Amino acid sequence: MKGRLIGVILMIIVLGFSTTTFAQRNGQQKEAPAPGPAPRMADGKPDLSGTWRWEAIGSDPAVVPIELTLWGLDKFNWNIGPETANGVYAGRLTRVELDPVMHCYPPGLARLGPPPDGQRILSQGTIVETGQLDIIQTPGKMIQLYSYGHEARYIYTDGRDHPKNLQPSWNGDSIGKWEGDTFVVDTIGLRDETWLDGVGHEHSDKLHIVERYNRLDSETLEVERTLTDPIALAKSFTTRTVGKLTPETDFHKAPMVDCKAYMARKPAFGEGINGLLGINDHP
Amino acid sequence: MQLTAWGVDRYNYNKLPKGNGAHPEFDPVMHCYEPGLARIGPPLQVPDKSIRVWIDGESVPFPGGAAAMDAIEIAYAPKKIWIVYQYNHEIRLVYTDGRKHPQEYEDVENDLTTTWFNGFSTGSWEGDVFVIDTTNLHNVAWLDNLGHEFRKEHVVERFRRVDAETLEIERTITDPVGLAKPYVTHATLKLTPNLTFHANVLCEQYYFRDINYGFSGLMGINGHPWQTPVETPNPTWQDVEHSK
Repeated sequence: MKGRLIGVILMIIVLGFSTTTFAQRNGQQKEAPAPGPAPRMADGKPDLSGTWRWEAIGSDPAVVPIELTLWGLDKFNWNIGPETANGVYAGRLTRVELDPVMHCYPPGLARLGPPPDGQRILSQGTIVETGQLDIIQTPGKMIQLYSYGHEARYIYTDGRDHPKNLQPSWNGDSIGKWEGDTFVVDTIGLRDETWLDGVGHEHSDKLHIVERYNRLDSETLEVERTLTDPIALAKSFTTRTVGKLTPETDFHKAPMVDCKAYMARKPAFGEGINGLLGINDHP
Repeated sequence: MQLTAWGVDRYNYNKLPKGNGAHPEFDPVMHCYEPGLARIGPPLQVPDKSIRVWIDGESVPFPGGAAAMDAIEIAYAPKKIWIVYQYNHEIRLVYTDGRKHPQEYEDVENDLTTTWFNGFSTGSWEGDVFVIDTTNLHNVAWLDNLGHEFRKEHVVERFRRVDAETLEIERTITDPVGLAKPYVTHATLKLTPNLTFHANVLCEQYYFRDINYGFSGLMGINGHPWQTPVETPNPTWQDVEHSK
């Protein structure tokens, strides 16, 4: 009995080419005051609201090991083509024509991050800054707005449980609760048409995402995210991302979910995709 | 809606010959473009109010019906106000820090660096009325689902909370290119504290209604006439049918 064949694959998220944009942005920023303690809501819980920019964007490439099941490895091999099936993924051979995002599908929660998977998306020849998350805390729910794809997500905090007959959706069904000063978000009910990332890993509709939000100080938000998928992942994997409070929301700079923005990335990658793909052509 | 000669021209081009709404193949929403500010309302302009969602290989009615799709959520934040729309999960950012609109934009289709589907919005209070002024709207979008187009759209919305349960929105759309007179709509919204935010509607789900018109599949963004210039300026419905 074979059980699960475990393929350890290093997923190298290539962020290098967004460095220029990042440096320009940093140059414009003024000296930040020393961070104070995390502000708190009226109920004593940390206040997570604000506009957060992920620090990982534009910095050193992150290396996240993913252990795939046979199912997951099979999908991945197909999505990156046979040439690199047994090698380390080099970041260039993803068959972008298979990427659901290229066919006007929403990225799905796994790719929204953090860390977001949208950094490779180009628009008008420049890299779109996709590393922002805006959090609004209201009684009974938290609203999260992602600059990547202009996605909106509701996290219910009124004590409800996941619905019994859950209809899968792009960003799933999320419920949140406090464990001390940590805000824990549990998400299930994700549609399996989306990918796990832009590299070509897939997930099933059994994907389970747990996020743990910690406001470390007035300027810093730490998010630890654990993805579990019994069908696609042999082992759950965890990423840790730090966001910095930013006074300026630049949602208007990032295009909304307009497929054309995705298609424009072709010249930089040169995979031979010319023109728009469209949802109807998806395999 | 009173149109300019240009507006009439575009409308005649987009509409179905029998006065049965717009030609679905010309509708940008049917090609995965965003609806744009004018159509996300309020009042809402969805392509088909009886919209269905494709789940597990079955086409089911949109959860909660069309009324649930009409809902908006307004969230205050420092120096800005967010408006989240149930329809298409649209997000609007309204700056309240006193900034101005970007400079007058060029009339460039598909330009995503100076125009946006929901435009650039600034808000201010006039007494108890919150006034949102929006320009820089991406002119690929339509004004409504009937096929009215614009080029230099300017939207002014006046939000007034009448009582604890009621919000009134008066919306004035002006467009020197497409509209001969300002187009004013009124909408009244009721507070619904326990509304669940449903899954967003993907563009693929629009196409089921077109079975009636002979479109049995999905169109996709690449099939839009803009991608390949149309030879005849005003094709009739039959022309398009025969060319397929």
